[in-house]
Amino acid sequence: MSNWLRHIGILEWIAIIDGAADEAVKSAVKDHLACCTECEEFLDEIKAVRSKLLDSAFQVRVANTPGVEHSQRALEMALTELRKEKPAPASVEDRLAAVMAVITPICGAGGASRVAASARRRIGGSLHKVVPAERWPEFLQYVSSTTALLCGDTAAQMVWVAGME
Amino acid sequence: MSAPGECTVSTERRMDREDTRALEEFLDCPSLDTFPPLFLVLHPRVHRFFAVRGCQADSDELAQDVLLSVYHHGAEVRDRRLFYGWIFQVARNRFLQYLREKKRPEGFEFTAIGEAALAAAQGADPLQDYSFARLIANVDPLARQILTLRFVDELDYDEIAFALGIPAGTVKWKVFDAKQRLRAFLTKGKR
Repeated sequence: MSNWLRHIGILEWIAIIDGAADEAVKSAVKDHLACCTECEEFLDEIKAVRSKLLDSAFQVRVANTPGVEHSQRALEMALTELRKEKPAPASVEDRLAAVMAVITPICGAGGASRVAASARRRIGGSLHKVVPAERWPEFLQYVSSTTALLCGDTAAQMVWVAGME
Repeated sequence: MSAPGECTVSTERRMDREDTRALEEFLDCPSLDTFPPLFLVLHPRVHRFFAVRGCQADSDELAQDVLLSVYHHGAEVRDRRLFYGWIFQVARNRFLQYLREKKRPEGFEFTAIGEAALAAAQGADPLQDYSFARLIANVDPLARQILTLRFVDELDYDEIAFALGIPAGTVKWKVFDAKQRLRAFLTKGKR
């Protein structure tokens, strides 16, 4: 093992080189460097390496960074693309609220709450179990079937349409 | 704008704050209104990520793919401090997919950096002894990858660790070890 690694711990070296050392480490290393030319030379050489890496990486960045206008054009293209996409699906709570808004006028408040209670029992009481959204159609199918039993096929169909919108 | 009597900060630091604000606003409420400022912050870095790795011809498309992923999934990132690490993880995965599509070996990543950096250095200060590509050619592939993320892509240790899926301690050690190796290389060249 080199002396400079015996004299100063690796984490201290890393912190010193990165300029991230706290005052206690800085002070201890400074005291040591004052009397150890080997470590002093090592630190100077490592700092020179870091400086070369920083300078040469800067050249790479300068040569490869697109200009502001380039980024503006890319943004326009991205926004065009995003506007073409369908809006993100509503949350499960929002979807269920939309379904209940359809059920209530047809089945009455009592009927709607019986459908809701039955649906919640089906999923163990928590709407979070319907997430991910892939499980929503399965859940909606159950709500729709319950609605058919309580309020007829037309209501069930309306529930299905409202839930899938 | 700074309030009267407020400390003066460097332009670079102000840019950092603007970047952070754009990021926070998007993550708090991802929408087509909050996305453009973040896009303009991220695009140069993401585009450059692909350009320096030899995808100049396709870097527009590749950067677009990554930034659309940011729009769709950025808000899912749990630890906001590692957001840049996550973006570079997405970029890296897209880059590896691109290499597979083009049937290029993964080592191409670093050859390409060399070509790009050497080309850039041709028009640069002739007193500059070593280009970035020539420097990192002296260390192992993982160290090359880490040094590029650290110095060219400007990620911190934690972000690099997240992007590569390795411990931050390993990243710190690899950077330090690489500097030691480069020190030996440069010292030898001098003597």
